[in-house]
Amino acid sequence: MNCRERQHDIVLFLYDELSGEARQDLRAHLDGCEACQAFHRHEKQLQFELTEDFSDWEVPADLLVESRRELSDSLDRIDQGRQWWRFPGMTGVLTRMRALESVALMSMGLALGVYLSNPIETPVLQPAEPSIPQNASLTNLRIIESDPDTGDVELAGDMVQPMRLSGNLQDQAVRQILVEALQSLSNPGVRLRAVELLSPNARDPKIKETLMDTLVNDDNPGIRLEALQALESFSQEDDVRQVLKYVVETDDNPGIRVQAVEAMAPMTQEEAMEAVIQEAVREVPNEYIRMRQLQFVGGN
Amino acid sequence: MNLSRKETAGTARSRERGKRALLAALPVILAIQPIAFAECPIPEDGTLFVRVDGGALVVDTSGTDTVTVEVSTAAHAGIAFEELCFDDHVEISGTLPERVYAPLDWRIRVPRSINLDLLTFKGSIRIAPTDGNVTARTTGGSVIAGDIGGNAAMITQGGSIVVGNIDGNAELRSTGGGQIEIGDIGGNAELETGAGPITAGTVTGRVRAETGGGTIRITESQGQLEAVTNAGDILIGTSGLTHARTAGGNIVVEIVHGPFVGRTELGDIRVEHAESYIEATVGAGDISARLVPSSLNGDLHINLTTNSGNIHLEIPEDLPADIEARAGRGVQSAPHIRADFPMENVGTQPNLPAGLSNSFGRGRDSRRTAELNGGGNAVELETSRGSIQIRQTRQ
Repeated sequence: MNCRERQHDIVLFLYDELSGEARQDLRAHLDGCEACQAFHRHEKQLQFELTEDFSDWEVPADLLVESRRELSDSLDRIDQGRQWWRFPGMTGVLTRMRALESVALMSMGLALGVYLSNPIETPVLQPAEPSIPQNASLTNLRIIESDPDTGDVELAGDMVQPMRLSGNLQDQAVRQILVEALQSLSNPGVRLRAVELLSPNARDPKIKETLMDTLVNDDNPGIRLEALQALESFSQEDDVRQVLKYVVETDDNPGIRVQAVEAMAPMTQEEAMEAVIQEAVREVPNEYIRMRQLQFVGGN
Repeated sequence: MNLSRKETAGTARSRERGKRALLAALPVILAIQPIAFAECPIPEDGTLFVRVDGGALVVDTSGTDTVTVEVSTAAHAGIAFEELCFDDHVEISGTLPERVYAPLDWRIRVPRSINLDLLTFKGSIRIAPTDGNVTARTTGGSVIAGDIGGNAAMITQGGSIVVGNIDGNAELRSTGGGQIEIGDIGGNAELETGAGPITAGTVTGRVRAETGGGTIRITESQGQLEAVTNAGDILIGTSGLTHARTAGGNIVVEIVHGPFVGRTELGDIRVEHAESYIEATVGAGDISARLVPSSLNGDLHINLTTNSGNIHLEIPEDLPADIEARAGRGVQSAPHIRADFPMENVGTQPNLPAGLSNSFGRGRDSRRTAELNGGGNAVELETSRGSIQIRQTRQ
């Protein structure tokens, strides 16, 4: 048994999954192998950190609920994305679940065979033909597989279909779409409109977080400015204040820095001093911002 | 404590000499106490020039025939002040120490009728309603003013500009970014901001409005109008020749007394009443336009193009036109071109043999043509994915 195999055993050993004989054998090897000793120490430390040092972790109270929700959503997506011609057992990925599915399919097959041997005639269900929605268009079409003899073909691509959704800004689905638009769409006009619509609900933690992200990362200064104005009423909250401070120190646009400074008023002396230094080392410092920061340093 | 200094040059010829004398003999560099005061007489049509290192400029226009200045600050040490009085103008300058640790306001009281030329290198500017011309510049801070009876030029490198009505021309620029909001303008308007919305009332002359990102709203432009935004809607009430362009957002114009040219990458274009030619280009979105010419003479061509969206056009029933409409379709849906008049289905490849035009090449698209009232104005409508509807209206 080489060191690589031994190291596999070390992991099992640390989790008490190794049999008595194998355990003794591993101990004997560890006594004489420095590489495996080092690996053992490393794994032990890792195990310790994972199992013992969790008291300092700040686990969100809703983590479990959120995780379950995401898992459920993911499973739904997988189910929706599964094509009609793809049976579970055909994927070739041998997991326990796949094995169970295979056993279940075999059982079903046997039962079906017995059933079909019965002379009673039953209607045979034909799989539905793949359908393409009206008004949809295809882009990035690829031919994955084709068999001229049988005529079988597998195609892939993006199907684009017009969407029109009516709802209320209080609806989670509507908010989610707007948040998604703000974070992922390239068109600045849509992002600006999304900020305008989300702003009245900036107290919602998810929306507030999205607006803060927009204020820091959006390419368009008009959109950043709109996000900043939406966050102004929360400027005394720690997370928003940190973002405003970051904007004052880093944003290239003097108009946005001016607005961020005003939103932070009054700055603490510590905040102002840091900002003064950042503004001073800027390639093109803005005198007004510097003056306002100095006024905060003065405690007014 | 009165720290005022008055000086009046006798004649225009001696003004420069007097100024040099003042500069040499009376360098009125005065240490300002918490409240400083200066006073100069000024004629009704005189001009006040203010140049200060920093601090907010607050102009009160309730004065009578003098210019008075107060400096309001808790950190006055090291502030220097100079005032020069002439027959037709007053010059005020102030310098600050390297660092000012307290808010500082220059409070200036003037007659309402005079012209103002204000510059602070760092600070906001606030001006009460005035009848003269106003020039206000700052490297940073907002500019807020009431109604202005003359021309207005306001520039800040960062901050908003909010003004009432301006009787003359208006040049408002926030180069760094900040909203621009203005009432009615009696002359031409140049409105520009690095970021933020632009809003204006009725403009007698031409308008040019440009923002790095934000909605542009103009109630009325009696001259030609150019509006450009990198993000946001463009909403116009009434305008003359109109050019409107947005990287993303809707363009809506109620009445155009002239040609309209508009482009948006994503959004709708709606022109409810255009009296001359119309050119509208959309990346994705609908186009709706209505041609209502005051006369059938002149250029009344129409060109509406969208990559994905519907086109709705209304034209006068007596418009001489050569119409060509092309509509693509989705994977399955049929293209729709509908009109109030007969159109010939010519397919997309006119050289194909008869009977093949709808089946070959780009045959899944639909292309139809019509000649109205003997032909003349080119009307070209194209959507890669969507429908086209053309209606004739009686004027």
